[in-house]
Amino acid sequence: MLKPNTIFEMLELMEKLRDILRQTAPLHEFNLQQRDEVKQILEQAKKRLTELEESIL
Amino acid sequence: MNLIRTREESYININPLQTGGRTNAAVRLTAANYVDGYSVCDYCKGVLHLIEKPPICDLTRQLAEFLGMDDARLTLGAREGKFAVMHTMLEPGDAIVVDSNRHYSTYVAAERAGAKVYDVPNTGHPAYEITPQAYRNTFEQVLSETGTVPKLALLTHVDGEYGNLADACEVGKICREYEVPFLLNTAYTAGRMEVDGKQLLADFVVVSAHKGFGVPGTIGILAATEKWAERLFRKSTRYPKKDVELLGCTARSGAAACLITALPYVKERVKHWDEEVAKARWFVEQMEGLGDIEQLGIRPTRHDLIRLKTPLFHEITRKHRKKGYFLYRELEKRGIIGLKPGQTEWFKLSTYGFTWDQIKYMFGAFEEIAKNLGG
Repeated sequence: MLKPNTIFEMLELMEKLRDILRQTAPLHEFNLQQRDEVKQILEQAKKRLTELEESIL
Repeated sequence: MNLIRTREESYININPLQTGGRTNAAVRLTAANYVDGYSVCDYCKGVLHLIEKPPICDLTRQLAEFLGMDDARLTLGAREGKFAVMHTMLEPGDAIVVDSNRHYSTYVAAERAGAKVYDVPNTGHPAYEITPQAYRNTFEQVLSETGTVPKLALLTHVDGEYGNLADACEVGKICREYEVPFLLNTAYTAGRMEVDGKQLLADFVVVSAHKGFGVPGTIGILAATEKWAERLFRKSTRYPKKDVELLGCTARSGAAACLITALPYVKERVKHWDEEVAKARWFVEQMEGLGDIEQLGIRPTRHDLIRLKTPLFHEITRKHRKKGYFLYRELEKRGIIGLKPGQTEWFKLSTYGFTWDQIKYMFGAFEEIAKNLGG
C-alpha cells in the first residue's frame, strides 16, 4: 500500500529544496553548508522513494 | 496545461507587492495538505473562527494578541477588513478622513460604504510624508464644513508608493483628542515589523496576510479593541454564530491553515526588522552613489519598500534600441525580476527577505548596467 504520509514527507523534502533555491537565487552557488543540506535532503528523498517502491512490490 | 511558476526559485523577485508574502517550505506543505476546497471545514463548528481542527479558534486568539488588540477575525484581505469597519461605523454621507498615500481600495471601500472622503494631504516632493498635524487640519476642515467630527479616520501605516512609515501613535492621539475612531491599515507593516495596535492607539487594525505573513492568499486579519469588537463582530439575528460584516465565514480555504503554520515564523521574523531596514538603507546608499538617482519618501528609509527616481537609467532610454524596456530586460538577463516593464524614470522595489549576498548581487547588477550602458 502506498502510504500517504510517505508521499507528504517526500513533498516536504522537495519544498525544502525549493527553499534553498530561493535563498540562493539566481546563481544557486551553494556554500558548504547548503551543499550538505541538499545532499541530506536527497538522501532522505531516496529512502522515501525506496519505501514507496517496496510498498507496492 | 501545466502551470509552473519558478519566479521565486529562479530569480530575485523585487516586486514590493510580493516579497513579504513569499512562503517557506512548511507553509507550502500545509498548502498542499489543505488544497482541497473547504478542507478547513472538516470539523465545522458553525463558523470559521470557532473551528478547532485545524485550530483556527486558537489562531484568531493568537493573532489578536500578536497585534496588541482584543479580538480578531480572518478576512479575505485588508480591503475587506477596511470595508467591514467602514460599513459598521459609517452611514451614507458620513465623513471619513484618510491619508492621500492610501491604497486605492481604501477609497473604493469608502465609496462602497457611501461615505464622503476627506483626504489628508502629504508633504509633497520629495518626502511625501503624512504628518499628524495634517490629520488635525483635516479634522478641523470636516468640523468647519459639516459641524461635526468625522465618523472614522484611516491611516496607512506604510504606504505602497514611497514606503513611508507614518507616525501612527501621534495620529492616534489626535483621533483620541477629537474622539474619532481610528482604523490602522498595516498591510505593509504587520508581519514584517512589530505592530501593537493598542500602543498605537488604534481602535481597528487591518492586515493583509498574503502581503506580510508569508502565506498564500487571499487572507487578511481584522482586529478590534474590546470597545468596538461587539459592534464590529455583531451576529446575525437569524444565524447567531454568523458575523454579519463577514457574511459568516471569510477565508474558508487552505490559506487559513497556512496562517497557523506561518505564525510562529512570523513572530520570529519581526524580531529581525532592524536588519531588514539596514539592508534597504545600504541598497539606497549604494544606488545613490551611482549618481543621478534619488530615493523618494522619508529619509533615511524606515522600510524595505523603496522608491527611486532614476534619471541615470532614464537617460539610457534615449539611445538604447529597447527604449524604456532595456532596464527590465537587462535585469532579467541577470536573474532579477519584479520591476514594471518600461519603467526607467522611477521605480519601486523591495529588499525584504533577501540574504545580504542577494542584496549585494542586486546592487551589482544595477551598477553593471549603469556602467555598461550609461554615460
